[in-house]
Amino acid sequence: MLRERLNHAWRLAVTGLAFIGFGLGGVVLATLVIPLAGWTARDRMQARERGQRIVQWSFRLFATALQGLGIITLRLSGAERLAACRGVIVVANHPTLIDVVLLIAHVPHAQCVVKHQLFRNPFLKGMVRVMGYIRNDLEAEAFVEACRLALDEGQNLIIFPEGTRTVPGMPLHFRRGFANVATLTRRPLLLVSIVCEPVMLTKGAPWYRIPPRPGGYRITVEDLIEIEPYLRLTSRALGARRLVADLQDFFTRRLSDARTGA
Amino acid sequence: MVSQQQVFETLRTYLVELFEIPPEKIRPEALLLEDLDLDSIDAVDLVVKLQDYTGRKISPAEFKSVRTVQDVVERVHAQFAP
Repeated sequence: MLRERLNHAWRLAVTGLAFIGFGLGGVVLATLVIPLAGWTARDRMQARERGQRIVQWSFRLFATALQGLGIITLRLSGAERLAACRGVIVVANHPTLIDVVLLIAHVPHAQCVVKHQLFRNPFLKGMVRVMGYIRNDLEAEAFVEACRLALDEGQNLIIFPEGTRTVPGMPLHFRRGFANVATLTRRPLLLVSIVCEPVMLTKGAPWYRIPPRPGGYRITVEDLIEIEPYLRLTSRALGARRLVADLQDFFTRRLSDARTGA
Repeated sequence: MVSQQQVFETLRTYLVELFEIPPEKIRPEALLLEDLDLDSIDAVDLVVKLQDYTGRKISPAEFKSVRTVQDVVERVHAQFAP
């Protein structure tokens, strides 16, 4: 009993510190480290790659620290497929706040679609700006063009089709933006399922409401979906709709399998 | 001269063909975004199709203010004006 209480107190304290550490770390990276690495690069491309590598390894350090400090556990299967991907759309479900951190930690050349509110967040705005992350509130055509540019350069585009974290207990609802990007750029999609049990840092929950045990992440790199079959339908628009429906079903099934322990 | 009714019928065929929208949902007052679940990329696809129909270039600006099926019908109908 006492042990559990102590463990809870420890995880609460470390979670709080992790938030502060992440916020401050992000500011230092965005205002100092990444710009410095950029200024000494020979061109824009090298600057971008350096920035992405710095963020990837910083996030991996952060993820490792969270595991080492007993805040989360992480089982990642298919890491080597993430490490090898180029110019693909990485599509994941979004149960918790730090999903993108865990993904970026393992995806090279990561470009992300991020919620426009982050461009006003005092801790994160520097980071999302310096990294040139793509706002989700861009006008539709500009949005697709920004994604196309990144993919053509061999960057991997991380996108959460739900647009925001899953509302706990509610069915998955995928928006269509990612499918428009996929059908218009003809890029393959790499599916990544994220399960967190016990879940933590869900939508609408304050940071201090921590689970009874460390948050148990299981991240699984799933199928690579080629876009061609969807482009053979009567219209691109239908292909996009079918893709949304198929992937929403796929993730829904995966999550329900995970719950029942299949 | 093409009538508004003819334009509407053609538009309905396109909406069914391109987006598999149930025909009964396609009424003049139906809102493109909310009722028919079109997004602005869909609108681009639709405009391309409508250009083939009218044989004239439709500028995206003309379509900026459309909200309902009837709005589209009127814009397209105007294209046929001599």
